[in-house]
Amino acid sequence: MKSRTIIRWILRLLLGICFVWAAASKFQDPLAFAAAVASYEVISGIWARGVVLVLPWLELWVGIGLMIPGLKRGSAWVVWFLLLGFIGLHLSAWWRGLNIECGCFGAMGMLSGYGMLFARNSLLLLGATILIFLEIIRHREQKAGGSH
Amino acid sequence: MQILRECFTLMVLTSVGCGVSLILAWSPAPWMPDEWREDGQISASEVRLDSVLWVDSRSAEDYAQGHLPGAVHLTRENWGSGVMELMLNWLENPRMIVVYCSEADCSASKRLVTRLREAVTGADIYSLEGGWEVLSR
Repeated sequence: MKSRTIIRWILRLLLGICFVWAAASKFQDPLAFAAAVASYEVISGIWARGVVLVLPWLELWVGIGLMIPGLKRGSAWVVWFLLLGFIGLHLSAWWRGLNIECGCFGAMGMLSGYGMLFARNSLLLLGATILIFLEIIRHREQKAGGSH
Repeated sequence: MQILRECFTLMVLTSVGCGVSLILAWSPAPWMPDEWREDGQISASEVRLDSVLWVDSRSAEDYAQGHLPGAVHLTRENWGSGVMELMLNWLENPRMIVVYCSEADCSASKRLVTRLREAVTGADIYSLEGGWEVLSR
């Protein structure tokens, strides 16, 4: 029971820091982020600029939300879907043979090649999956405890 | 149900943040035309110096006297070897390419940007507003 709580806290902290860091790098250099979004060749124009505007804020709030009791479960789900989307985008770019700039963590988070990119995002996705699973168990236990 | 409520709260917070970004002009409005892309120019304040691959399009003498660290020297005269060096640098670490010139030959640097865009497809390439004079201030 106690070990599960510790794991939950560690995962929330790690994922939270990752997302706040990712948001901060995008705020710091929106132009580089815009160039990174364009390099995926999936969206352009108003949609690309929309992503440049919205994504940093969404990442910031889910990163903070993971630490806040009233937002942690919703944030964990949003993080999960975001990571799944990022992996899908990277797979698509790799499949098309694009030489992309990740745009994930700015210049500080540069990784060499798709392999490292997939490995990092898969690890984060695994962490988010475990976190959601543990939150569900905790929620059920609380409900069961409340009904007795 | 509670998860949906939390997601809705996150959406509201994100919308408020976007509003702040638009009011304080941290980010360009999505519906506004991208002027800096249309004319191919970019200002020094929009560029983070360490995340750019610089191209120096001034004369060999000017380049020898001083240039930004890591800047690739590229002019019409050394086009072949310069582009090769630039490509190798860019492929090793793809990032935005910004060409700077001196006041005297800035029109040449704009032509260079046009040629570069054809040579290095997939890269974001701009010419720096104000050129070397802005950087050396």
